[in-house]
Amino acid sequence: MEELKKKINQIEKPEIELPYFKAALKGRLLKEHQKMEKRFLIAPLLKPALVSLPILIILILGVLILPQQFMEARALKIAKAHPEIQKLIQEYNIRPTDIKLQDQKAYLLFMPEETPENILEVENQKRMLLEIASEKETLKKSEGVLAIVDLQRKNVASIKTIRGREVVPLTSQEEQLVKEVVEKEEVLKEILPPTITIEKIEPALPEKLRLEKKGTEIQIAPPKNFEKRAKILYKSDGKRWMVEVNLQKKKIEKLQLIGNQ
Amino acid sequence: MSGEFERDLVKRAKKDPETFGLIYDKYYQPIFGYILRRTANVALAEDLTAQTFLKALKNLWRFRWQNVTISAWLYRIATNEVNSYYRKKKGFKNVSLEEAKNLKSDINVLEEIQKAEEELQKEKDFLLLHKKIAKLKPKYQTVITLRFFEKKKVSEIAQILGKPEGTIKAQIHRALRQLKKLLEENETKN
Repeated sequence: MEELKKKINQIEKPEIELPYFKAALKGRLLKEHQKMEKRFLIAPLLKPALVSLPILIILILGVLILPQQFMEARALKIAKAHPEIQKLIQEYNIRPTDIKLQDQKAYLLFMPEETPENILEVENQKRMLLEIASEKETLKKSEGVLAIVDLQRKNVASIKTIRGREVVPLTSQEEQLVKEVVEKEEVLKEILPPTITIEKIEPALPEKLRLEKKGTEIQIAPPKNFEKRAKILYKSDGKRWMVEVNLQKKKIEKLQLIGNQ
Repeated sequence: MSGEFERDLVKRAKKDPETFGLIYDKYYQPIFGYILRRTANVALAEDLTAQTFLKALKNLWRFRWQNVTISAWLYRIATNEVNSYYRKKKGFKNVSLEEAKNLKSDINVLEEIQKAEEELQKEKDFLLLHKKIAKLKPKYQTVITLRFFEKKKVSEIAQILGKPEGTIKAQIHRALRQLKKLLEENETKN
């Protein structure tokens, strides 16, 4: 083994120098160094930016979103504390379904809570026609309520009943279609007295309404792709009935005795 | 160079191209020589040297002092580059000058390679020995080259390869034993 070591040590090894290559490589390395230097000079500037980004997001959320939620909660509290709204909640089971903020005002939409219903089951369902006395006006024949809360004054500025004709008005052709559908229905002739007369035909409010911002206004809008329905109100001998017709399907979906006149 | 001086040098080289240039000037020839003696091919040695220094430059920014000298660190990168080349090639094969031409566009460099190759071919004894060394496992080629061609101490090789001195001694011993066997086989054939 020692002999081998001696042999290896004695062998002349190549000692080659390549000055052109050395210089060319040095040039390339220095260029690369400059590129990397630029990258790493930017890095310390980016680092605080990256660190502060989440903080900035939290601040934006804090400034924009959290106060919004806080305002909405406050508006709801003010509205629910109003005696008129409290009465509606208790008697007609209305629940807040949408809220929008605009110009220091909160628009709150209250709709009756959905309950399972039996088609053609004649019942006295008062919730379909709200008749509530208020200080300023009487809420009549409504299915929903829009409360506007003044956030600066911290009070309920107004309570408006939502009428179908304002949200989903009926055309004369649609009214005609309603009449045709009910006339064809044999079951109605069996249930309703022959003396009934049509009191009025009005659009039925979709069960799920929503608030929509249009410019600076807040409007009540029907849900997208909803099926338009109309109510036809009958009266006879001091009694009233309501028949609901699906205009898309051209059929009766509901018949209700809605109380005495 | 003292450890403290080297540490400072690396720190400065991260920001200052000139300092990096100083490191390059100091270590280019030993690293190129080492790779050349590992590969016995000028064009390939050039490529692997370039890769070694480029890798060193890229890792310089992440370089953390771990009591490894710059020299040992560069030898380690060079060793990894050479061994990685061997692994990919599944055994050493000469790289033709044509292949080297694709990598280098400077006419002076090309002429230089050609002349260097001619010079290398004169080192007949070395080339014969290298042929036998090249048949060893890369780890044995590494320790033989570092110990007998580069004249590194066992402690230095241990630092370069990041292994205990005892392991290096054992590897050198095994490498020599295998090399001896190969040379004896050659003599028997002749």
